[in-house]
Amino acid sequence: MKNFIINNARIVTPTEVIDGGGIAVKNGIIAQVSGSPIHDDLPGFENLDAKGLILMPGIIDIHTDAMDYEINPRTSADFPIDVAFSELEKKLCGAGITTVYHSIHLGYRDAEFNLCSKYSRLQVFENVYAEARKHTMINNKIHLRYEISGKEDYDLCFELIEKGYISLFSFMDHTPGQGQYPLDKYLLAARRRGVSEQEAMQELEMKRARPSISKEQIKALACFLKDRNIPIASHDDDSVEKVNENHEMGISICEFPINMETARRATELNMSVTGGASNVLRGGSTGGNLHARDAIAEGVMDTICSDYYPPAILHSIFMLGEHHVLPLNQAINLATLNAARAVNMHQSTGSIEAGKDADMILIDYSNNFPTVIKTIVSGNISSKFSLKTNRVPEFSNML
Amino acid sequence: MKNLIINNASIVTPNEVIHNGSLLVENGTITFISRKPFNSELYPFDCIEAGGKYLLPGIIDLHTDAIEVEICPRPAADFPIEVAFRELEKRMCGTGITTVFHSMHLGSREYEKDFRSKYSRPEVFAKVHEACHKHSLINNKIHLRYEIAGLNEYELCFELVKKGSISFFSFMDHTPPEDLLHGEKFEKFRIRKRLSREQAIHEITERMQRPKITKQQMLDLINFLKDHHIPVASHDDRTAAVVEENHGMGITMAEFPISSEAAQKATELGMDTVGGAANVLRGGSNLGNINVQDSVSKGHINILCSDYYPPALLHSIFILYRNNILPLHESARLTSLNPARAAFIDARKGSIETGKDADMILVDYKNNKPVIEKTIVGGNISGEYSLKPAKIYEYYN
Repeated sequence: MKNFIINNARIVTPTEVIDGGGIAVKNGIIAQVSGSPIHDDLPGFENLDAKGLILMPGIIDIHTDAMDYEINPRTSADFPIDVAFSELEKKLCGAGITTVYHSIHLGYRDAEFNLCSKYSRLQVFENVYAEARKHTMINNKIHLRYEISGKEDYDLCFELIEKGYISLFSFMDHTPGQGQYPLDKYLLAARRRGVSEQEAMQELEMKRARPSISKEQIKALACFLKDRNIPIASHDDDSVEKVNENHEMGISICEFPINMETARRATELNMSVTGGASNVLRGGSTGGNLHARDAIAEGVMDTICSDYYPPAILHSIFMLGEHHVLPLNQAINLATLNAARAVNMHQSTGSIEAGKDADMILIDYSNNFPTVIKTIVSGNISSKFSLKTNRVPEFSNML
Repeated sequence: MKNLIINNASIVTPNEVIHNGSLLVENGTITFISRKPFNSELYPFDCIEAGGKYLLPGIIDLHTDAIEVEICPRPAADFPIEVAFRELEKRMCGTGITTVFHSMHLGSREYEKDFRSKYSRPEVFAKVHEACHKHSLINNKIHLRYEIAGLNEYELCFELVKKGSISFFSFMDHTPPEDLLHGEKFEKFRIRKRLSREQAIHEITERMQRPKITKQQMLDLINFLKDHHIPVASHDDRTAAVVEENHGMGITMAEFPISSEAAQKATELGMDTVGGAANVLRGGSNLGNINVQDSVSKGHINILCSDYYPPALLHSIFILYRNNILPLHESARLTSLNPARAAFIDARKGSIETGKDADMILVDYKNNKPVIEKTIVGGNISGEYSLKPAKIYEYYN
């Protein structure tokens, strides 16, 4: 492990931006953060000149569905899981993510149908966990997202938790007619894929008739998780009542609330409220639900995750800063310190503060476009990029 | 532009692997390849100690659909095109691709329907073309893949070529085959698309009856492309007869031949034949078509492209080598010199040889898995990657 000093950076801490600051990293830990340059002649320390670039904490992504798509980019086209894992974490590293919670579904028949994978769900969990324990570029953890109509997989949740695979858990309910798909939106989507209203209603009745696990079973699982200090999230909450109920059960994260009242209630209850960075970057929800940016401006959303597009986090942070929705340091907190708090990791990572892991990214923010130059994980420079300085000369044989 | 020395690499040239080889890069060009290390103290160059790792020619990907998915990863979820472009080329850089031909569809109602993008096709072409010419990590070009049922877009093909946006062209014909209307294939299609029997039959027959551009229009376009030195490929050829017909019209490349007889015929006619690296990595086609590893071993496929999974290319090079299908320098040619020739860029690209652009990748191959350490494009180290040392993490406070 190399020790190093970075001087001449714009260091973003949870509360301010320090221009021309310096930091020292020793044994993978931030040893010192200083408002002025640190002496660069310490023995055994390498010196890096940040040249005025932004040094911010590495992004913590508590929900990204990318892993299942990386393993199965097309229906029934499965790739080796070790290849998918390494290639995905390299991509995430390049997007400035230093800790990821791969959200992997269980009990979710529609998602299984879409992937049509040769791997069983258990195989996916086992292999991803095994890869996460090897030498990696970033910190990889598993977020189990459980669809409550997957009754057959209820016991498997306990097994996976028992084995130590799971670092974050969420309960999902994708039954149409509520949550992410209120009736009108469900019917619109059906019409788009050429299905008549009558057929759509039949399908809806079929899905509604699917038995889910009971309230008691949800509570039992929630207790089991709490005993093991595994944070629990709910998903697509659409009403104040649901939030109250979830809070009662010990759920501490409200993921992708559908409307402002829900997000506000969760904030009042001191829950972490998580929205999609894709939503921020695109300027709204594809399903026509809550605008994450509005919720952030209202102060009722404190965390963003990548959802389905990992690069979105970094771009949305700078967009929020640029549009004065939040000062830059607070926009950065959304995907770093606040995310770390949501998953109980804030004592070891999530901000540039002495004593924490040296998980940091160096960003060139010019022409309103953030470019990741270095991604540092526990003091290791896991990836480093440099744009070609010259325009590429044409290289066709005919020239 | 910096000058570079790379010492003690296993250099993969078109004809051999030079162990403990070294090379010089000056002003972005490979100027010297040696079988002995250079004394780095004698040169005012940055020096990379390769420690015996493989130095391969940078990968040239003639066909990847990734840009469309990056712009619109879910139906109707469009992202800013510049963001998508930058993020995608960063990902490709990390997979060892140094020159990419982003394949972008035109004239396909099916793709347009799948993506439901807010961007018009001309808008996507214009924005990607613009991004290709800015500062970038790798070399980016556009491959226009034109669906011949897109009558309204026929003229646009000419316009885009005149604007200089297009560096590679392919003709696609996704007319459903007769047998899709019956038996198992029909059932699979219907279930996948979540359609009733009637709806499925309606959709398939409608697509079968769509008018296409005429043979004469196709010939005119091919000749126009040839005049502009743009390589032309066909797509998904089913039979030897189709391949012969395409060849007769002046098409020089067969992309994704569906059957081994089609691949064999194309090879016999001296055409370049392109297979999907995703197929190699997965060990077969997900649609039950040819097995590309077999076709490569028979000599019927001479180029690999990433198709829909960019990381597949690097892994495929080493899979073909590990499975004793080809020696390493030959499997590397499938992703470098052969595509460079097919795309008319081999004067400057496609191999580690003196006088060529320094587009190279440094790869650590261990435990049967290739890991990219550096991607060098025109002598610039565009991407560097490193695994962190093992550490046991305290997961919770």
